[in-house]
Amino acid sequence: MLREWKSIGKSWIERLNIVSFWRILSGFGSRSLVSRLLALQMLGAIIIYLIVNIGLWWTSSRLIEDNLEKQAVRWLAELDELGTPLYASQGGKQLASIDKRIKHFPEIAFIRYYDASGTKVLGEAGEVRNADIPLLEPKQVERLQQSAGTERSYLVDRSLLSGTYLRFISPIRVKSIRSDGLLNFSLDSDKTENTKIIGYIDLGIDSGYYKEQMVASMASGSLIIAVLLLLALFYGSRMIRRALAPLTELQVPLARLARGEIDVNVERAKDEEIAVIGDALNTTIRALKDRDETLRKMAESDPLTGLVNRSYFLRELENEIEHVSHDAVESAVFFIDLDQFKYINDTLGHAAGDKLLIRVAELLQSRVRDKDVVSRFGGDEFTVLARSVSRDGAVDMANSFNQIMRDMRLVEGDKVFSVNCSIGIAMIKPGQHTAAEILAHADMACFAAKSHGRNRYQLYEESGESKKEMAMDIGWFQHIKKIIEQDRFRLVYQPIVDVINPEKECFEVLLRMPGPNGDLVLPSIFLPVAQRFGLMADIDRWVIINALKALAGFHAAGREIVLSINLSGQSLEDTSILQLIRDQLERNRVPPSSVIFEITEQSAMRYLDKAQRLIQGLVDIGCRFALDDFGTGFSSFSYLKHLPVDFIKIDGSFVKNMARNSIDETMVLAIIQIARSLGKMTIAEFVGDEKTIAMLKASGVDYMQGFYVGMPSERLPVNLRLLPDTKKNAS
Amino acid sequence: MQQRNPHIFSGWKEWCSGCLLISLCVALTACFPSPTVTPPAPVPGLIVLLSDGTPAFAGVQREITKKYPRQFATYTLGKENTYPALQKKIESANDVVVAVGLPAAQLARGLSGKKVIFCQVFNYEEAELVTPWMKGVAATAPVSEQFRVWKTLSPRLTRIGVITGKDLQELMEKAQAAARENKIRLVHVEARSDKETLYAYKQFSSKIQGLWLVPDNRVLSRDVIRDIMAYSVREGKQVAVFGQELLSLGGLISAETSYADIAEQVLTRVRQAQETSGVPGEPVIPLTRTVIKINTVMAMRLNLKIPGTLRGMTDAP
Repeated sequence: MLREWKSIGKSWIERLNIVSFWRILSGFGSRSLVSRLLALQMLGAIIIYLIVNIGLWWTSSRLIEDNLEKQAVRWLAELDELGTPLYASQGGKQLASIDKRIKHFPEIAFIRYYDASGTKVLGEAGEVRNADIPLLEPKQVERLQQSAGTERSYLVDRSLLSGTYLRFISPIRVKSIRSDGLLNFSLDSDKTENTKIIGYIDLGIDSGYYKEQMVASMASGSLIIAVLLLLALFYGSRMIRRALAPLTELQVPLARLARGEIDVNVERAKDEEIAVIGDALNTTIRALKDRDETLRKMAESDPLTGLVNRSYFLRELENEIEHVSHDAVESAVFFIDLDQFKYINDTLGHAAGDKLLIRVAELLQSRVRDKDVVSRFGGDEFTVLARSVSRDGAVDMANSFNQIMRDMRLVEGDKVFSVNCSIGIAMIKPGQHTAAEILAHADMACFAAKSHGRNRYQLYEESGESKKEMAMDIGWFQHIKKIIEQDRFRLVYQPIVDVINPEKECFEVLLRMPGPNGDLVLPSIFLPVAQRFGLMADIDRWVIINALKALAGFHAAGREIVLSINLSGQSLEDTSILQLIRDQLERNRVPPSSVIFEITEQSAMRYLDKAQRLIQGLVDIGCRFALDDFGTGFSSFSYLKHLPVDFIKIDGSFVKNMARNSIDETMVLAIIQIARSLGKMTIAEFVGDEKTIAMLKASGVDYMQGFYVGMPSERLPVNLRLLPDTKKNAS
Repeated sequence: MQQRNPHIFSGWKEWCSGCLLISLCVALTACFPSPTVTPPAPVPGLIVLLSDGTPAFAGVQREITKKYPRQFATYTLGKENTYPALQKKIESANDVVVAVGLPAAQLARGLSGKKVIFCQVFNYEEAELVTPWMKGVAATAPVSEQFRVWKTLSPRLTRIGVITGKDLQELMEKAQAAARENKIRLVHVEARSDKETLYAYKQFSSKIQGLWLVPDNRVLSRDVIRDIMAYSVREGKQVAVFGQELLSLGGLISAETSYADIAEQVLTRVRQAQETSGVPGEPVIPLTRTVIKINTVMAMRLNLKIPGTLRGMTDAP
């Protein structure tokens, strides 16, 4: 029972929101519109309650006083008549009838009848008749004698016994008509009558009795008002809650929106004002959804071809691996590399290359089922995820892809080109490999297809050499991952000497990895595996973080050096890499001008758009950029116009033999000449002897790098081979 | 051409004859003079002294004028400071004085060597107006006639009450006799004030069927008359009143005097007084006629059937 009462009490308190009211009044807690309205309602109710009670008290007091006086006047009139025998017979026995009459009126404390002089009491009645009530004062008698003919012919004395009794004193008058008044008698005659005072009535009213009655009435009245106000509060709070319900119902969708959820629908309220808010929210939600959809598409698709990109493909692949494991089916991944893309790009231009890529994407898309996924994996690489397909089915699809490529003709001006592709196929089997492994299988198979003469497909076989190679690659892959996780890569610094100002120290950051047996492993061993298994972006991030940290340390040690950091092609697709560089520069307080980023010419050509964006972004924050291995592959000088690089690193294969091979020398000279004409500086790699140095100096190269100039070292070398008085050949 | 008016200038002969006729008339007037128009000289023997000019007094004076064969002097009391002069003036004549109203009667009582007949005075006993030379005419209507009509109208009436001041023995004796004649018991209560009158009436109203409201101004006030009438209506009491106006307040029957009757009785006493040395007869002689009105509304309310003989007295206020 007690519990029930407690719960009822709690419920009422909650309903009336007294706690909120107190919180709002005291300034604590969070503010809420409903609580504030309820608090205002309660405050209003309290004010009304106080005003009503004060008004009730004042009005009641006035009414009681007024009524008391009127009642006293009626009593005086009645007592005037009842007391008549006292003045007729001078006897007191008639007072018994007065006592009997007033018995039921406890408010009448005493009654006194005086003679005409007002000094002699003819009779007394009432409960306090024997109390020490003073007689009439001569002044009062005199005033009453003068009151004849006035409207108020009685006196009120409120001072009797400190106001305990209200004393009403009235004269007893007799009248008689004038002697000739009855001749031609008229009630409306204006003839005055003879008047004579024969005594006085002294009536004492116990005002305390009325006050007690009034207090009791006030208490019950206040209680009723309080109950009514509480009821009004209760229903008022319900009405306010109901009225504000559409508004409070917006809290949930708004909170979800604040949490980033946009799968929210705000129902339209009936109230016009709130409906407008709901509509605005729904419009906002729709805009957010559209924006998210756009961003999602942008994040998941390749802007050129409209195909999904690498990250989306990887997610789909992971899902498919789970699906295959769960349903015990087979699927296939195709790694497709265009064979003559670089040639078309170089000969017909970038626009033609883009056109080719778009056409290839359309053809591939037309040859797959709706449930399959085609992605542009990077550059001229495409991947296809063929769901629920057998080994034979995958082979058929590969043949189909080869065929449509062979059939395809690209018309550009007056030239017609065709393009072939090499396809690597990796089957997805239940519970065997990760997504990276499967992609590596397909990549390896594609490489094998290219090795076997291009324009063909190769199915990855998990047996024989492939299996061995794959096992080795997977071993390296796992080792590399472990090294990244354990933060065990090591940086070495190879000098890049400024020919004109050799005191300006510049070093290229190179990477060494501890091998499984503890020996340092060269990048040429582990980077292809990392490339194949998609770890290059992670390695780049590690290098950036640690190289900039080291650079900050060198600067702190007083070595104002410049570091050149290599970025892989995969980092070009990492949209967060620019922000990472910004953050690390800021965190390490390294001036951006002391950092040079390098990217190979091949990567730049393969991801030209992304390379442009990244290079421009780095240049914008103050970093410099170098195009590495320039001169290899199908490099085109025209691309130099589009890439805002500061340095061109001449591929080492030309520099290495330029002292003995005139063609290489010519190539180096040509590159230097063109770079200078474009306002870019040149760095010669693989400088191996004094003669080469002299030739390079003579050809006007800006920087030199190589084992002869300086060996890579974990510690910064102090002495370089170049003489300080070396001067740049201006020609 | 302009035409003359024949009516204006009818001829010089007519004009001359008119002038001659007027001259003749003037001459005749001068030869035979007519008597001078002066007010008739007062006939010695009667002076009427009015208390004031109220209708009750003036009405009596008017009736005396009609019925008295000779001239008489009339005086009206003014302010009290004029009384001695007036008293002296009246005393100079050897006349019988008729005093109308109590103030006039009180002044006349002080006249030396005068025979005074007073009227329109109710409480003559209290004022000690009756002397061998000063007697009066009753101011109230004949009670016997009043009781007779009342009994006729209300045959079951057996007990009535009356409240008066003191010193009305003569009136009460006559009233008791009249009541007995009509087989009615009259309960008489004396009061000293209007308050006592009301109180007394309420006290003994349960013992009577009706109230005879006697016009004793000493124990009546307008408020008390109203209260008595209202109380009577509430209690279903029959009230015989002294004025027709009180019928509208619930009176059943009213009895009023007539100025002519008063004047006749006064002149009767005047003649008697003129013939003897004093004023012969009883102190106050009763009136002979009364004007009775019956309130039909109250009669109906009190379930009284108005007999055919009384139909001529009905009145519906």
